[in-house]
Amino acid sequence: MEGLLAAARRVRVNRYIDICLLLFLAVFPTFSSKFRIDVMAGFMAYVIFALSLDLLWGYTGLMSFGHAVMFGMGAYVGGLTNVFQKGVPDFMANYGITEIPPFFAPLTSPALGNVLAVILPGLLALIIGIFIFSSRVSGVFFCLITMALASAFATFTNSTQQYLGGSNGINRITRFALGDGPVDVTQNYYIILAALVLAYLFCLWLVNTRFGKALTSIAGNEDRLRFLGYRTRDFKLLVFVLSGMLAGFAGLLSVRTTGFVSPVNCGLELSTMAVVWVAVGGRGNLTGAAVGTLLINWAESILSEHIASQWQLTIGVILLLFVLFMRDGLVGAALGAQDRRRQKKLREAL
Amino acid sequence: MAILEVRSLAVSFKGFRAIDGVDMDVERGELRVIIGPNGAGKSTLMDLITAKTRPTSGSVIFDGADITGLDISAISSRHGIGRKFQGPNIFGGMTVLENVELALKGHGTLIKALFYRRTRRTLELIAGALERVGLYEKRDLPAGILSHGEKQWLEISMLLAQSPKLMILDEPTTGMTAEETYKTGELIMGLSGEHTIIAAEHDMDFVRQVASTVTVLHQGKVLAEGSIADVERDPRVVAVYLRDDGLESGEGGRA
Repeated sequence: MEGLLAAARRVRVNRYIDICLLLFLAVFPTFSSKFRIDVMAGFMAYVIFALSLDLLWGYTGLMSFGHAVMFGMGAYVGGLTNVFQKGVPDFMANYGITEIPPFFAPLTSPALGNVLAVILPGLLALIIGIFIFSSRVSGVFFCLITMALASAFATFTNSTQQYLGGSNGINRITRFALGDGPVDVTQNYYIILAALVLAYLFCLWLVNTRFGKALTSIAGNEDRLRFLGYRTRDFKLLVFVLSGMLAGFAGLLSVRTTGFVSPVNCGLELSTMAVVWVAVGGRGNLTGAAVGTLLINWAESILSEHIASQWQLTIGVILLLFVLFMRDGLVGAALGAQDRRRQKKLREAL
Repeated sequence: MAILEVRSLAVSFKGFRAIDGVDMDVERGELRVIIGPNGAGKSTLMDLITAKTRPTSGSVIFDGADITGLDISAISSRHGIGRKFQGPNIFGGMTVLENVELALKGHGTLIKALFYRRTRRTLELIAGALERVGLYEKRDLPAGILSHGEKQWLEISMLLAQSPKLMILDEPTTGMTAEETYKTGELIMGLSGEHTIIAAEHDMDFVRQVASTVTVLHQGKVLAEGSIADVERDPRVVAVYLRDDGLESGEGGRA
């Protein structure tokens, strides 16, 4: 019994938060309205998106202001794949397009289309990453380039009326199908929850490998790691690609839950919001990304009914407060307190 | 034959010649100490050898291969040159053992990093590197809470985990107490022979303790080279570096 207690005390505090969060999410549909269940499913897709940003920013120190591009790309590819199953969508027909264009042919297969929703964002990340990391772009320049990417992608989707629906985007996308026809709200909720658990376990595995430790060390002191014989460029490239794929996966899940995608889902706004979620929850521990995403999104959902016009301002103030007074975020602060207590004990024991 | 041959190496930064035609041979197993006043070019010379900086002209030949201006990671992984920077550069959030594990030779490629497993063999290598510097007992502590001197030793232990042919140590005793400095001297002497070592140092007590060949740098040039006794007697060295009685007090270059 004593050994068990000692073992429990060694576990880091965020693992307990993980378990509580999982239990909460598992029982959430039993006491919530259909509407709330659907909203929560969308937020869980956002949590996967935040996890992908945490790998990149929290662990590797690469702060991206354009991560919604990967998310949006997954959403668009997933959305198109879904609407193509019912033939040529209206936004194309309005431009006199009578059959699905040849370059969209792979998306007529649901299986291939959904796989591409994950692969293509990874490919985009690979191409951009090769340019960024071989020219040793880092720090604030990485922020700026990814920010430009977000603007460019949003402009592209906005102006591609006949293929991507322009500013309206793509609508009437249905949920995943199981057997005959789309699943209901609760089934969809549990599909997203299962995907979230898998994505979380994948991230947890990744950051605990030697690869993950190398990523943390890149954030801490990249040159030191290079002198230890690591080709850090390869490491940054791989995490950028994996993170892009995970963001694309989140986009796919999101679009099949909310039923629509538009340029708003791949521009600067969502990119910045993801940075805020991770900053508030705390970066570099995975739990923070989940906590921050759920807190901010529920706050927005509930508060914006009352203070819709001031919501943007409120978010700005929250971010400012966290940057000034709680730089490690909520979960980061809890972990920091636990670490300090442990180190104090260790010092006393020495 | 010399393991390291530096040939008419020069680099200028915006017209300032930080290293100006340096020739230097280091024998296999040798312990070479480089001294010189602040700004003499000690760190720059090490940057050039480890490819952190590209030279304007000249070459660095290591173990028969031209390594001038290679990629930093190749210098370490392919040519076996390890470097310890000034001041402790350890990863404070990880444990002492994890720091050495991260440095372990031959796991720096992507695939190996993803599928690395702790085995009895890797643990033995890590334990060996930690025992050399006397930190094995503290292996499970977070590296951040080690004392300043211990952090420096941990970094030397990380170099050992790389089993480098050449170890480059930039001011290994900075900020250490006299006792820690002495212990570091013992440690480095114990490592020489087995490894070739180049150390840049300010602390004259340390230089005398390890009593090896000394290269004196001044304004980017080699001013003198020889045993510590020879160098101490060299009037040119005395004029530029040891004038203020530094050699007697051991406080010479600690400005």
